[in-house]
Amino acid sequence: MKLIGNSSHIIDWSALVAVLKTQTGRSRGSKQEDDIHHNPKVAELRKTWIDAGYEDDESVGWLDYDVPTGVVENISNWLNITPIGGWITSVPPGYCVPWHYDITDDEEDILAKGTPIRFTCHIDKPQWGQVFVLGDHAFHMEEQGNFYQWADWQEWHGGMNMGLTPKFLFNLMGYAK
Amino acid sequence: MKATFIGNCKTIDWQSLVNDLLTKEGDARTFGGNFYHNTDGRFDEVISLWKTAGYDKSGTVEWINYYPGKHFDSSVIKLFEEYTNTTCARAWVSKIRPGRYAPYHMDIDDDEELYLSKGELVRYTAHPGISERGQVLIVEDSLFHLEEQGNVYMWPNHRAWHAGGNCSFKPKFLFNFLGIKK
Repeated sequence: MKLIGNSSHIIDWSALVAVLKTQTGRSRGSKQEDDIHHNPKVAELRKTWIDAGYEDDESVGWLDYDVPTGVVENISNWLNITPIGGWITSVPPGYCVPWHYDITDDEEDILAKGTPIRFTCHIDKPQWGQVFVLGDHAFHMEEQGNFYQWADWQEWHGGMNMGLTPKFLFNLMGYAK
Repeated sequence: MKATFIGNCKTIDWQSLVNDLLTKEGDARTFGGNFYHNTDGRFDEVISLWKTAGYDKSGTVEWINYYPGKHFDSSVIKLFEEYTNTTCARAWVSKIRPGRYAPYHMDIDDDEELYLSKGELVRYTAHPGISERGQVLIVEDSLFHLEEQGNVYMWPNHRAWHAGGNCSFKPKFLFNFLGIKK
């Protein structure tokens, strides 16, 4: 993982977060409405979670938000990448995203076009108790707009919120130009 | 304020302590659990903060405490007193299961005045287990993740705000010690 830079001169993240706080995100985790469990890798991961005690556990929960038009394009131009996709996640206080790697149904298509690069950006102002763990590193009180490139697009990670306000993260995948 | 690294305490067999506790039930602490008296409202600030943030609805506030003499051998306390040159006022081991939290709080004790009457209080934590990715303790400006087994830290003050969480696959253990300076 490496710090690419601060993106606050590209996007007004505070304004975006303010809008997100007025929206209802798509519920993910234990109460997830759509079925992604047909994927064998997801099934295997879920078994690991169940074995760890996460079964039927309401602690597993996060929200997904659509990224406003232009954000992915502007950030991708800044990073000099061809975007695959971007999404925003939010973990409310008291919920978590257990240790996992990202699994997608179109993995073969993605890999057929190149090696994906994965990024995360801390889009809200630093809030005590909001933690994102990527590999060996735990992010806490990160400066708003800090943009990190992962060592591997399927690196293991997890999210927690033991603070008092929702935690937001912008996620991006793309190909190097 | 940051916590101060004291050293790695090798006089205690931390792995044996953790192995012993893995099979024991302990005393569960949850939101609304009746484990304190709060006769003068000293817990009200933390309870109010948690309610405002939604922890009363999440159902994920939980830590499990183990006490010397009840759940583990008190000889551990004697050894830690010697290591820190303090007298124990209170000590316990806490466990946070995967998906559970001890959210933002400071430790409030119904008997704090009694402890303070005996001298200056100093708070330590030690990391007794082999840390897993996703097991986190935060004490004011210090975050602890993948700490070496046996590492001991002194807190900025005994009422420092802190929190613990676990998004790993294994329980997270912490040795907690409130000492009186000699």
